Amino acid sequence: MAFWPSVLALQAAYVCFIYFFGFTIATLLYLVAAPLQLRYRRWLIIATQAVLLTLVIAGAFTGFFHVRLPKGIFWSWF
Amino acid sequence: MWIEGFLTALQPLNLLYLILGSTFGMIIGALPGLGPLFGVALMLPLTFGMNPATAIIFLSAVHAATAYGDSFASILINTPGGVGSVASCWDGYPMAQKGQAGKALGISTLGSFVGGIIGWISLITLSPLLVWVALKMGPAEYFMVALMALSLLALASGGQVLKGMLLGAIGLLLSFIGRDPITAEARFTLGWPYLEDGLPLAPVVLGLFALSQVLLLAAESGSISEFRGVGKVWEGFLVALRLPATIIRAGIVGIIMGVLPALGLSSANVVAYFVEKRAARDPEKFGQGDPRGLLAPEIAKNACIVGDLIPTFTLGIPGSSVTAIFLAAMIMHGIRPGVEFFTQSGALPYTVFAGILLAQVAFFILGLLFARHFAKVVLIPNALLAPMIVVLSFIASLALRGNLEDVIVTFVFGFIGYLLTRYRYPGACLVLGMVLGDLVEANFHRALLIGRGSYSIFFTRPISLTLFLLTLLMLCWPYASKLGKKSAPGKS
Repeated sequence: MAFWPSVLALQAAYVCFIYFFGFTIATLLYLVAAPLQLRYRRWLIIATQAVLLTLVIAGAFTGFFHVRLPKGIFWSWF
Repeated sequence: MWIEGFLTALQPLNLLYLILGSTFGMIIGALPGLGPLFGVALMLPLTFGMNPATAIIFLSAVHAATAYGDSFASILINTPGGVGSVASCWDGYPMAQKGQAGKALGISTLGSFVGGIIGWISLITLSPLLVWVALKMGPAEYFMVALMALSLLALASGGQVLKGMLLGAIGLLLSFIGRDPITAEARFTLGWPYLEDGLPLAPVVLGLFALSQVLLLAAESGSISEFRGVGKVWEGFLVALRLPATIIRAGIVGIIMGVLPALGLSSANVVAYFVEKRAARDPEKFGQGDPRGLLAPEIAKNACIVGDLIPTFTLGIPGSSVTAIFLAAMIMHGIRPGVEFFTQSGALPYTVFAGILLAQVAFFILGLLFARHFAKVVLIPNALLAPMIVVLSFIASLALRGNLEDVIVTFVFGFIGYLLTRYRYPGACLVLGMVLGDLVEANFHRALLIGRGSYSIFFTRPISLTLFLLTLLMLCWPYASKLGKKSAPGKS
């Protein structure tokens, strides 16, 4: 469905985005971009999955598991 | 005492915490990369207000259910739920791909339950003997045990012996990164402080087996299973029950790995897999969805985690980081582990043992109820599932220590894992080398120090010599048996 270097490149971009913009925003963007890269076009499902999974994961890991997720250095510049 | 112990463990409050612990454990375990260590550490603060027996029962339930839940991700998405379920991927995932996810989870459920029961029986009956043997083991013996496990590398390579040995050697070299176990001097760190603690195993394993999987899934349309059904969980029970020899072999491996400090969950499942493969008459079927290749690591894993508690309860020596948390919980609740735990705590030890048994039953029932629903993961389109695996792998790497560097390690090893899979290099050998590297190096140096630099220490101690001879026998056996067959009358 997709050429593997492009999938790898998107993963690398995801890691960079976590560093710059924090885990939550990076994850939301990645969960929208990755299915599109894999030529999945059902927008409603993509959007629902991206929002729900991001909220559940970020909420559970920070609120319940007390894991410190990266907030991103970008926000510290303001 | 036993009746009193069971009656206390069966009190409504204890049962409630048992179910809660099992449910939390199963959910945490099902998340890729998060194993029993994370689950038990996470739940420890919740036990502050509980009475001692309830606290230990609750933690036992979390412990057992997390180890069981670990296998879900391994079987369904080829992503190790934790370092203790790496080997469950190797035959579990091919079963899921063939539309037998339910059956694979059935094997895992029954295997984990039987493994837990084997571990529990060993806990209550063999404790004194096993602890006596463990106390006789010194660095020389531990080195020989690790050497014996390393001799499985040739088998782990699945026919690609040279590639397997090469990766095993690279795994050993990677395990040497970090501080020297004797002098604490930092080595091979390239001046990067992150590497001073060594390469963390969990992010490496997540990368090798989970992220590499994403690159493979991305190249295929559809879903993991080519079939619309997932099979029936009870079919897995029947398959598992027809393999008593596998159950016995894996149970023994699990108990031995559990009771010996330092050998633990990460080695038990891998070693049990290769022991089973070596014992099989048709080892070529392993890796293609053979139920024995799934049952053996499942049994060994759960027998190991209960066996791991033996030195913790009887000697106050934690065999692993998870049992170190158990030990902390016991001390926190005023329980003194060791002989006093058995002689001066009244019915408490029996309540705890009863609780550990009930924890196995609790996750078994939960598995019966929910495993089939988990199995439907294999029907999700790859285009949605692959990004989910990436996110879960990255957050699992982050959750362990909160280091972004761990995520980078996962990413790098994801690429390496993909290349290994693509060019048919057995990634399992790399993991085996890494898992055993610490054990080999530290105990080799310690033994030499004790022996004042003489290698004779490895061959003059009875247990060490026996283990060495067993290793030699294991290495020579295939050639000897071939020669035997050739020289047998009537055979060419």
